[in-house]
This record gives sequence, structure tokens and C-alpha cells, in this order.
Amino acid sequence: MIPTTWFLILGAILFSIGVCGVLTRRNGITIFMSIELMVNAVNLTFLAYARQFNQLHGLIFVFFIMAIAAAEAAVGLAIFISLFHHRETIDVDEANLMHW
Amino acid sequence: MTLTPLVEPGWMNAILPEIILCLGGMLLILWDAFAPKAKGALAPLALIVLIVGAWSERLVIGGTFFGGTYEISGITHLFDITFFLAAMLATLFARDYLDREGNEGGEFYALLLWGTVGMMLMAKGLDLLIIILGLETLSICIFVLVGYARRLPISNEASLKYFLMGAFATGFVLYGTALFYGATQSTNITVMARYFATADGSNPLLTVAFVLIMAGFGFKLALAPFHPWAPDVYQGAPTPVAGWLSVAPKAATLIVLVRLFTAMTPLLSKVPWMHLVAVLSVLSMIVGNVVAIVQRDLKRMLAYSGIAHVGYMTIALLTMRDDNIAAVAVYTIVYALMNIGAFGVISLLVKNQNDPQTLDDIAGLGFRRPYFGLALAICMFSLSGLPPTAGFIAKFYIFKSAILYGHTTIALIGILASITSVYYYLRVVYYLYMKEPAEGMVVETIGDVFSVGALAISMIFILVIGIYPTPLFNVAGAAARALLQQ
Repeated sequence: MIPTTWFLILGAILFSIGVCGVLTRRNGITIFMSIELMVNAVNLTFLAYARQFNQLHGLIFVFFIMAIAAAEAAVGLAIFISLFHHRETIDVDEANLMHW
Repeated sequence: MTLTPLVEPGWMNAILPEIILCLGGMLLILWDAFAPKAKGALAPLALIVLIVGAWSERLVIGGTFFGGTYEISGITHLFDITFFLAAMLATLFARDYLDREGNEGGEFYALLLWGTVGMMLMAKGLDLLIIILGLETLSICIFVLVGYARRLPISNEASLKYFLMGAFATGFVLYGTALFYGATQSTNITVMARYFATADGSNPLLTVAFVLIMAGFGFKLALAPFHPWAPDVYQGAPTPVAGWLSVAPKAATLIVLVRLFTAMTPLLSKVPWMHLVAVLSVLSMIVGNVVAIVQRDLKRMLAYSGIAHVGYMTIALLTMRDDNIAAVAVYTIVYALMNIGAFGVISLLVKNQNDPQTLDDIAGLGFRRPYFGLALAICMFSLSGLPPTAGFIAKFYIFKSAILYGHTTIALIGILASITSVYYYLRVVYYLYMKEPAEGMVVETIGDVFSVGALAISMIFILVIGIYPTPLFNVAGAAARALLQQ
């Protein structure tokens, strides 16, 4: 059996890639995909622990996280479409109407 | 074979207010679909739902439900009242505002009600799963509400910023939860508390998990350095939404942190985690108050002032004692009254929402519209913490309990920051009463009976709590002691 640590390391790497993607990418959809990657890293971590502890609890948590991510995606893509109507772009650097 | 029931008897009663709000929201959307001509009835209908929901709190019996994942006690009642109050004030201001902007719709009030349900779940959740579900219910409602004026580019942009930041922050909260699960083998706060009681804090996973959770909730609270979204979102969002958004989600996040920190108390003496929270608090007080001074846009100024206020409230989280928790609970109620009141007056300024609402727009308002001017002035006095307003009492108890439990330096920084803040709050009063509007630049203010009533509620409660705060503090103190005794 593959040790849990390996899954955890993979989860941490995926999460870091996601964070880097959010911080460096400028296309709205790509940023959102990076956030999804972070969420999936969390799912992997939960599953690894649930397998190690032999618990159902972590598995159920993953189902709820998937539902949350789907709901977020629905609203998020609608926001992107609405933005595209105004600007013809979803580059987040173009969203600069407000300055401090 | 007999099936064991998954839920305890009385579960229906336990979530009665939530059920009422959910069904009420659906009713509002259906009403809008089937009676599109009668949009004027939407706000009163939403108010009735909120009042019935608040009244049904009386029928809810305390205890834990749903397999120990859902707890109802004095403190959850108190925070529910804050959520109901915030939603009612937002509804009252929204009716007039949406009517003027020409986008009155059932979904606006429905989202407000469902967002309130999300916050109630956060306050009552005894399991991180329930808390996160509540947080997401709330966040998704806010994403839509902020972008509600979808024809305005500024509202769109605010929505985009809040969505990306909010989803990013949720990722952190989730990862922190996963690591806590790995360390404690549970996501139930009661079970986690048993682990924390014996843990020595040497597990590095726990520290990473705590930092991630604090970063995630710091975003939601708009604590510096996680605050940059707040001014942009408040400026772009429809003004009544901005008022609601600046208060209610913060209150919900604070009660979650109170629960978590209470469970962690035995561990907190062995690990330096609270230093991190103290740094966030001090940074917020300084950044919020200093940057607010240079703001001329009223909504952005209130956003930075909100960052500072969260800083004050965070001071009380440093030690989990009954008077600290009571101080936080009272502060959130008072903050709801004064901040939504202030945003409410700004929402009455008749102006293109794409343009900023600046200090010049309220020049001389105190004489042109004495009632609105007085309301804004009282809210500003209360926000700056001058007696005899409720803002003074709330701040006083925060700083008093901080000094009592040995956080003298932070309390001192807080008091100094709070003195700085008097400058920009009273500048608003100066513009209200001592400044003539520029030639041909008079901005009209229109308020109907709803907004006038909401301002009356704000003013009366600010003054009553300011002059006679004992009953509220007794209730809050009893609730806080009950929370700690578990």
C-alpha cells in the first residue's frame, strides 16, 4: 500500500501550484482553474487521511467540497460572462475602475 | 432490523428560523415571477419573513442536534439577532435604493435571506463541515448581491474581485480544515477540543493548519494584510449591500473564531499562535485608520474604518474569557447599527452609482435635510467612539477586558488608533454642518418611509445602548459563560 505521506506531499505540491497560478496568472478563467486545483488538492488530502484513519467522515467531506466547488463555478462563470459583456476581455488587470 | 433515526426528535424545531428564511426566499422569487407588476410588495414581504423568523427564535430550544454537529445556545441566539437586525436594516434601505435604480427584484431579497441562513449555520455549526457549508452559502449569495447592478461596470468589477478573492480564501480555509482533520482525526469541534486538551503543540501540521485557517478567515474579516478587496468591493457594490456586507459576514466569522479558539484554549498557552492574531489586529488598526484619513470617497472611507473596527474586535479574541466574548457579541450588534446606518444615509444620495460618493456630496446636508444629517452625524459619533453613543460603550469594554487580561500594549495601540480615527469621522460631521455645497453641485437625497424608519431604529438603539447598556451586557455575559462552561 502506498504510504499516506506520499499523497499528502502530492496534495501540498498541487495546492502550491494552485496558489502560484492565482498569484501570477492574469486571465480570469485560468485563475479560477488554479483555485479549482487548490480545492482538488484539499480533496486529495482529505481522502488520504480518511483512508489512513479508515473513517467515512473525510470521504463525506469530499463530496460536500465537490458540491461547493460546483456551485462556486456556476456563479463565477456567470460573473465572467457579465464582465465579458462590458469589456470584451476577462483579463483581471483590465478590471481597474477603482483605485485606492 | 430496526433503523436508528439519523436525527434527534425536535430537529425541525432546531432549524425553524432557517427553514422560515429559506422558504421565504423562495416565496419572494416566485412572487416576482408571478406578480411582476407588484414589485413594491417585495420589501414588505421580505421584512415580514425576517420578523417571523426572528420571532420563531423564541420557539427554538437550546441543545445540540444532528449528531453533535449543530449547537443552539444563548450566544447563537445573540448572534442570530445581529444577523436578523443587519438583514432588516439592509432590506429597509434597499427598497428605496433599488426602486430608484430601477432594478427591484425578488432575487435581491431572497439572496439576502439565504445569506442570513448561511451565517446562522456558521454561528451554530459545531462541526467544521457545517461551518464551511454556511460560509459558502453566505459567500455565493454575496458574490451575486455585490454584482446585482449587472449593467454597471463598477458593480461587475467589484463582484469579480470579491469572487476571486473569496474563492481563493475558501481554498485556504479548506486546506486548513483538511490538515486539522489529519492531526485530530475529526472535524467536530467538540472532538477536536478533546485532542487539543492533551496536545503539546509539537505537531507542525497544527501550526500550518492554524495559519491557513487564519489567512482564510482573515480574508473574510478583511483583516490587514488580507484587506485590499474590501474598499473596491464596498465602492462597487449597491450601497445597502455594502452596509450589510461590512457587518454581517464579519460577525459570523468572529463567532466561528470564538468557537475555535475556545476549543483550542488549553493548547494556546503552549504555542505562540496568538501572537499571529495580535499582529493581524495591530496591523488592521493602523492600516485601517491611517488610510481612511486620505479617503474622500465615503464608501471607501467606511471600508477602511471597517478594517480598523475588525482590528478592535480581534483584540478581544486574544483571550477566551466570558467578558471578552460578551464584548465581541455586543460590539457586533452595535457595529451593525452604526455602520449600516451610515451606509444607509449614503445610499440615499441620488447619484450615478458609477461615480464616487464623496465628502463634497454631503456638504451642507445637515441643513438641507436635517433628519438624514443628524442620523449620519450620530452614526459617525458612534463609530468614532464618543460618549454617550453605543460605540463608546462597545469600544470601552473591548479595551477594558484587553487590559484586564494583560494585553496592555495592544489596548494602548487600539486606543491611540481610535483617537486618530476621530479626525476622519468628525470631518464628515464638519462637511455636514459647516460646509456649503459648491455652486450648482447640490446632490439630492430622497428617502421614503422605509429608510426613515431604518434610520430611526439605528439612532434610537445607538443612543439607548450608549446610555443604558446594562441589560445587553447581562444577556451577552450570561451567553458567554454558558459557551465557556461546555
